[in-house]
Amino acid sequence: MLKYLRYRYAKIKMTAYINGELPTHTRRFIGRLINDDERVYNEYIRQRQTQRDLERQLPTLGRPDAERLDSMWANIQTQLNAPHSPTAPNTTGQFYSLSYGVALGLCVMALMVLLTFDSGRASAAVSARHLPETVEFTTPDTPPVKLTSVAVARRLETLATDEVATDLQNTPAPRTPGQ
Amino acid sequence: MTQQSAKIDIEAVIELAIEGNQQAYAQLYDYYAAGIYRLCYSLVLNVQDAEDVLQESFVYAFKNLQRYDKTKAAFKTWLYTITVSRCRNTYRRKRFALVDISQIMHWQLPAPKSERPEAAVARRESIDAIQGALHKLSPILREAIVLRYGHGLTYREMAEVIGCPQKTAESRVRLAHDKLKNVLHPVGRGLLDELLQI
Repeated sequence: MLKYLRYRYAKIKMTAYINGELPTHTRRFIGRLINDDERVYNEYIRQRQTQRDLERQLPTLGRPDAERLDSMWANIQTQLNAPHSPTAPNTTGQFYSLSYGVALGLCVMALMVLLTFDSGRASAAVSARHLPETVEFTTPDTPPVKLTSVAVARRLETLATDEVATDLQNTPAPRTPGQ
Repeated sequence: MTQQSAKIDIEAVIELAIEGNQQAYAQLYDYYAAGIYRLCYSLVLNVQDAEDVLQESFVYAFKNLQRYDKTKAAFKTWLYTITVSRCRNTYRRKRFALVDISQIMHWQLPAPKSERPEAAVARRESIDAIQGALHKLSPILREAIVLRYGHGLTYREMAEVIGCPQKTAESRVRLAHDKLKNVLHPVGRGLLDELLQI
């Protein structure tokens, strides 16, 4: 297990070791591990190979030919010799501000359309609301009367309240501690 | 020509350019253009964008040459800083489209005339491998590895160019190196092998 942990440690420090960025004592420790442990040695070889590949390949990546460089120089000269006016419009900036403006306008329009539809739907909902239906209400003591559902509810509530009031009147009064 | 005399020459050329000498501008361009182009290409990985960034960088640098302070940084570092900044703008603009059309179509870049076909294929394959590996890195790590191994900058110079502390530059190189190691030299048996040996 200790051997494995040492290997992991060496693996983490290997790039710094190859680049010569470690303090002396750590460098010596990694050096010893490279000598003693085959896996650490393999890791060292692998990372060193990567570094060599990078050092060899990266400087060759995108190497331009003289023709390309000449054509770019011609463009640079044209841009440098172009009359420079301090108030020259920044087309990129204008493009971005125009795009933002258009986007903002569209958002506002979309919001307005949504609000308009929403308010129309709300008013439609109000106007389409059903009026209370008229129903025939009958009690044992009264003749049938045509009432709206709201009125029926009120009448029922009154009846229920009267019944409760009668019940309360019939119940004995609560006893006080002195009685 | 020694490195010291080359530096003195460059400074003299910069003085001449500031005075408006057209020949001095051309000399500066000749001296730095190839390196700047390589930097641009390695960072944006696209020929057209690399050309655009190079032109923008040189135009900006030449127009602002009087703002260059030789006591603060070397001219190369200043020029690299301008270029990296413009490359970053390009990443932002083209976050999802950093692909060279020649890569999609598998077009071959012209090999040197004296090169044998097998050598050309091997060269192309190794360049493809390194380019593919760079594609897999984040722009920040790509900047670090390209400046370190592609242009041989010191960590101090890198820190100036990237605009971060030196330790951060070091750790970015380390991280990029670790990631590239796995892409360029994948291990066959890897983790299973390690676990069996515990």
